[in-house]
Amino acid sequence: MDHSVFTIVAPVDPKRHDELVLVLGSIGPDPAGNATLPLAAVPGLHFASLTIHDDAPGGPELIFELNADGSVDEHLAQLTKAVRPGLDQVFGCCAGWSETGDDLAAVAYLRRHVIDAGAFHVGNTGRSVDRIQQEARLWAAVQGHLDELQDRKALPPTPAGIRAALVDFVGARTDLAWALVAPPPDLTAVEVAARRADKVKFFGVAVAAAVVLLPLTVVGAGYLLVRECLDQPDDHDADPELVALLEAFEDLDGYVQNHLTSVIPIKPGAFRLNLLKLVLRAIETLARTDFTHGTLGGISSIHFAHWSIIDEGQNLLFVSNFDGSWESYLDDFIELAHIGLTAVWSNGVGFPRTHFLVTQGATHGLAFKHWARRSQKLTPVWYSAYPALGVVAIDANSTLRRGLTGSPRPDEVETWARQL
Amino acid sequence: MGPSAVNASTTKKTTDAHTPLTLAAPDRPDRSGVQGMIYAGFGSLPAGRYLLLRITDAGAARAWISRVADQITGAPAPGTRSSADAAVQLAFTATGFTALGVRTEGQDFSRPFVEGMVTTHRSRILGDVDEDAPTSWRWGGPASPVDVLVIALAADDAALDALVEGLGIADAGSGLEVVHAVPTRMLPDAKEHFGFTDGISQPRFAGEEGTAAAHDSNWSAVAPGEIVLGAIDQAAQRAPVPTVASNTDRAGTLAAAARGQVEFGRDGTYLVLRQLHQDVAGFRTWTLEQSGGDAAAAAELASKAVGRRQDGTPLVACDDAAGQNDFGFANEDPTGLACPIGAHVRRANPRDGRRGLADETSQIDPAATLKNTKRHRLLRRGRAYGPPLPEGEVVHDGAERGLLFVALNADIERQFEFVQHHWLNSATLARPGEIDPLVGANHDGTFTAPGVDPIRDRYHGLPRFVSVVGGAYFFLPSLPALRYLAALHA
Repeated sequence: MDHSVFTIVAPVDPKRHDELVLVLGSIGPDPAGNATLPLAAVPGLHFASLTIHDDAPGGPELIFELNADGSVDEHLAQLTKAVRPGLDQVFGCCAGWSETGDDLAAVAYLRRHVIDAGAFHVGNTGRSVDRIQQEARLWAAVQGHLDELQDRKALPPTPAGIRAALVDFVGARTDLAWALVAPPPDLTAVEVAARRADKVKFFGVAVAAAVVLLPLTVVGAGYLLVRECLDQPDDHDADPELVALLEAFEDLDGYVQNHLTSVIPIKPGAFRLNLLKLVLRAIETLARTDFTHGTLGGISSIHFAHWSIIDEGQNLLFVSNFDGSWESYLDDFIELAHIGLTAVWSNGVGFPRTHFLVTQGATHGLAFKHWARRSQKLTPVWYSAYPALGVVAIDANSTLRRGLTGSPRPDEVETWARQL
Repeated sequence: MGPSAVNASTTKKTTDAHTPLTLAAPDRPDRSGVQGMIYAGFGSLPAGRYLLLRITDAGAARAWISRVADQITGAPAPGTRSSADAAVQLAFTATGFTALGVRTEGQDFSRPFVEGMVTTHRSRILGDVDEDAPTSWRWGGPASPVDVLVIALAADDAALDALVEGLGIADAGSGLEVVHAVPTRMLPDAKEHFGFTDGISQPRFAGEEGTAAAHDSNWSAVAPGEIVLGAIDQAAQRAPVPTVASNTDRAGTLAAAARGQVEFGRDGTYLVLRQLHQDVAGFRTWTLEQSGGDAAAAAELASKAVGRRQDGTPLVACDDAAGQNDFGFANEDPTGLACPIGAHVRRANPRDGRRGLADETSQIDPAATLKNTKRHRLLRRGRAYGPPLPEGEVVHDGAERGLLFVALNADIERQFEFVQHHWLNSATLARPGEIDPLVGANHDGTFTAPGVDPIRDRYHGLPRFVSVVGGAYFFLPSLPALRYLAALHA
């Protein structure tokens, strides 16, 4: 099963800007169940956010981030069907929306304003919202049953015996029996092959082009070095009041996850824009092949994140749904993934000084954190379908379920039992 | 926003971290200029008192600092232990510096220090909520802010009384008022009240003589800039050093910075102080209950929650002669079969074994992980307070006891708050929903650990054993910076 990771970016009707602020303010405190736009009612929606991007070049914009099951078209249809009245209230404040039009017209409007991710990462590849929530319930039920067996001193003495007892337990529960059917693979063999072929093609073409057009490559690299010397890093501290405002929306009770929205101006000129597109394409290729199992360059705390180029190439949008605190997330980036991160964000205005695109930059830890805070937008609406589940836990729940099916070897059963 | 910004302007340079380090930048602390606790635990001085003060008269307080400045204990010589027969250390909160007239110019103090420990967001990430909320603290909360911390240590109680008396804090005209005082003690064998040897694993300054035994250095050696401002840190950078206008440096004691400023913060460090009440009877009762009343099994469970045995022996095989600190987790115990992933010491210092996904292919490289962990180390200088609960007693005797937790670090957010929030209080690091079994704010929580069964044991009804009853962020200035303070005019 594939995910679609995208944003809808629509121009806000200037006359209704303040009304939109109020509407978003009414959704924010209870994004799942509020009366206006109850996002929990949208099938297949993992994470979503709504942000007003006030300093877009053509006037304020609404940024609606969606991370969902299935294709963009499928999801837009489901979204519209589920929460059309809410969409009318929200997009009614945007230019060109028709509250009287039929659902097809609404979907068409949303489709026109879709910005595809330039590069995205999914932590739990291939898993639908329903499956993630079902497997979490399975985990809790199995844990409770194991506790009970241990309390009654009735736990079978061997891993194989324990597995058999669990298969019996799950099979007898009508609400859990689905778990005895093997889940689909995270990626089908066909998908893996296609992605690999795509990677070979992309890097093959990139290397070939760099060699064939060697003089151009050398000139480009030289130009980059010169630009890097001339570009001015903005090393001002983030405004403490902005940071305090952002923090008020972070580390909420009941959530193990946080969210961030960042918009940065791309350095002017075709050179940086094209370089950025190339880097995003490379990251996208790797994210679809090498980083399909939970980690992005060593970071195992990201559920959904993506970069996209918005505002006709003027701004770079980054949205992320991650486990843990902002501080820990940024530290992960700085310590584990600073090369990819620097390669992307060094094309943004004011980024800490870089050398040859990928070095230095984000390794200036504190300067990078200030830069990241300065680029952040307050996100009044953020929805998570499973706020208490981390990427690692979701994966562990799938591991539990997989172990109930098929005919694993004894050593596999032993390892599986230890992880229960 | 928290109490009083020391420097009112909001945006300023974040140091010269962007430019390559010049040769003039010192890469290690000036050992003759630091307060001694950076290098010494003063283990030969078991009697202690932590005095939390409010400044009532700034001029008088500066005069008092001037009088006691010579008594502030410096660091022992390289390779030696402190031989002082008494020690006094002095630290200040942001409100304390403001009251004394410190006005940063150029580089401010870090945001957590300026805002203080008790903002709404910090309370949330530190777990200082509900019964632990700062409104109910004995000191440091909104009702009882503090400006100054005096740590006084001596060989015995009589010497300590004389030492504190001699400091003249209570004298009329000192400009100081005691908000709270906590007498501390050292329990036998460096134990804390739950009965475990404490302070075994400490960061040691890489390359400094006598600070790290060879067997230990892989795990404990850190660049001194992780703790001391002005020195080079693990990322080969300097944490921002707070600066003041050079024309305020009447004593002429501070090192020059750029643009007419001098480095007030050089050779200083941020000092985190938390008074942690320990429910020892509750800890013993819960471990016994969960073990069906079997004392040996209860001790085993307690060890799993801590991640070490009572004498400090790690649960993971350990090679060094002392048998205490030469071990990792990544290769020895990747899945937590010996030392539970959620055990206190493994959360607080995951060494080389921060867990990725269960899948082997996504394991993070141990060397990179250890390097990463070293960005989050804390130099701990805590001391126990209150009498030990007699061995085997499981009923609370009404006595106050706990730990005055002290952590020194260069970056409160990256170090103390990160460890507290992202590791100890994390509900995703180990089993979902579980937080630190020993120090976490548990209410009917669970703790998962390997047992004799082929599957995990899960312990229920986990209550809170440790509660916060006071706390504040301080700055521990260098000895030259103390002389700067003494010479300041209003």
